Amino acid sequence: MAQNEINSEKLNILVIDDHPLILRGTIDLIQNQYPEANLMSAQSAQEGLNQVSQTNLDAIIVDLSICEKVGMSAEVEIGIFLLKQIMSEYPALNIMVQSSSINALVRVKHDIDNHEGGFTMVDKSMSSAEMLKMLDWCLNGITYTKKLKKNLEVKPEWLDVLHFAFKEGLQDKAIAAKMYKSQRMIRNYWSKIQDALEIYPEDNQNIRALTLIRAREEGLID
Amino acid sequence: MINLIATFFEQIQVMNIESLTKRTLKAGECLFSEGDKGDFAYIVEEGEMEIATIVDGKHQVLNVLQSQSMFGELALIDDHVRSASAYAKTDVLLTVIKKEQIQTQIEQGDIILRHLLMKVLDYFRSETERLRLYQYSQNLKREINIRQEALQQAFTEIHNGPLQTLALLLRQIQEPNHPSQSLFSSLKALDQEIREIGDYLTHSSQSQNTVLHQHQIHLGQGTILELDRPLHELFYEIFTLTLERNFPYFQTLRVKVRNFDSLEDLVLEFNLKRKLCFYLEEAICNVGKHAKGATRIMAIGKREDNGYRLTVKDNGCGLVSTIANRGTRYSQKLTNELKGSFRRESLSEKGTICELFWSKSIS
Repeated sequence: MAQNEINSEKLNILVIDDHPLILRGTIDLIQNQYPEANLMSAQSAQEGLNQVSQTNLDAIIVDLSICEKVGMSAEVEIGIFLLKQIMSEYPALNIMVQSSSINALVRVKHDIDNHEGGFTMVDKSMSSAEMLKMLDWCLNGITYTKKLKKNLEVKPEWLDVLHFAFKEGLQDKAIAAKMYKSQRMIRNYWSKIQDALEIYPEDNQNIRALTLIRAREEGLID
Repeated sequence: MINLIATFFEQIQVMNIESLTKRTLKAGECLFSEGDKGDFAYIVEEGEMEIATIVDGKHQVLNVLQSQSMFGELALIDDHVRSASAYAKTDVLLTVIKKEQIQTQIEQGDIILRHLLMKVLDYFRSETERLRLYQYSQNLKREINIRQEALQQAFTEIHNGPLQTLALLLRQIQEPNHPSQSLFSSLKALDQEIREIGDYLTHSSQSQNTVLHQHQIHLGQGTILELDRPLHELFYEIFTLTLERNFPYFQTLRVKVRNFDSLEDLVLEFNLKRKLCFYLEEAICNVGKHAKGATRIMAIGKREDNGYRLTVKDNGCGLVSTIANRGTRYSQKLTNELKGSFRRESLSEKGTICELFWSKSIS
């Protein structure tokens, strides 16, 4: 999924980070990549939440170690709380976490599993190319939580999708009808399954075929 | 009636205060103790007096009296002993009213008023006594419950931790050619688990006033979780952590399916949360101990219209023994407490299901 699929003219992206320098740097990088995008910034959880409620956003980029209000001290707890709140109120919003405490996300892993929008993460120490790739994936509704993986744990719905697709040969539309879900939801399940199996749109691979192979390997389908 | 008494004391208050004896106390000094015979009533002129009683062995402040407050009058009127103790909270100046002075006032007063006064005082005394007894028995009950819970909790922890490892060991040594290395590591794990429970219980009993760690749960594999977190989050964590334990039939598991709906509006009480966590841990452990050949475990917490259903399912060999072990008895007890329903049985296809359902009306 290349960036050119995204119409950068209409993009509304919010960056939440309490370090003015990182905030500036991130915004410059993104602006460079998506020249027409409308970029907004917030320096505290409260300010961020305000902006999310006021604008129709395509994605937010959020640091975990942030302050509740400007001038207060930054804590990972606050970022996690903000993230949980955003995920519960805006289940379809694309989210990218950019932080040096990525591992704290383990605690909200199951919330990420349930999140319907894209969800990617990048460590602040990673290259800007990596950051832009994660943003692109996030805008495309992809889930990337590879860094948090310990065990392969899945949701029952994901198994159903695999079953309908690979055992009954159904397409997403038919699977959606069988499961009483929207097609968008089925696409979301695929992205979660692929994340669980560590399949990402990096090379010129056939993602569905790869999913079948990996799912078999892991015993998700017999 | 209350008004009549108030009028009576107002009469006393207008006695010529100047002619009465004064007494001073230093802060912290005791004026009289509960049970003392009473000969004087007092009016606070300067400073503050604290009226206190002992409830269930503990000092409990009933009132703090400031300037112009009268106290100690009850013991004078009906010859009973002091019903509470009085201490100087600050340096205090008191006016002392002698028994005779009050008695004269009462005797000179209206006869009907006098009888009414005595009647009310009797009533007041007996009610105070009743209240004290009631409080005492309530506290006693609470303490017994706390201890009972602590014992129960300690046993559950032993059951979910070391006893599980012990069962594993017992099985291992029956195998022909059991590797002594794995025996050694199991024994070491057992040693560690027992120590952790010991530390935890000692730590608990040292913590203030409670035998229990009210806000924590101690999992069999050693992790401590905070109970003030949402229960479904704890379920997720318990699922992951318990599956990392070293049970024989966890080794063959390939697919780990889980989903826990939020149930925060159903269960808020820490005690109940703790029990549900133990229940889930136990149900997952059972898969590791008994579900021979299982390749799949599924733990689902489902919010339904009228309640919550917590299910743990595997595709192993099904139930072998029909004897209810302690784990199942624990589940039964929890089920009764929740007024819910519980089943643990073999599935017709393959495997075992362990399911607890309770309706929302209970919580």
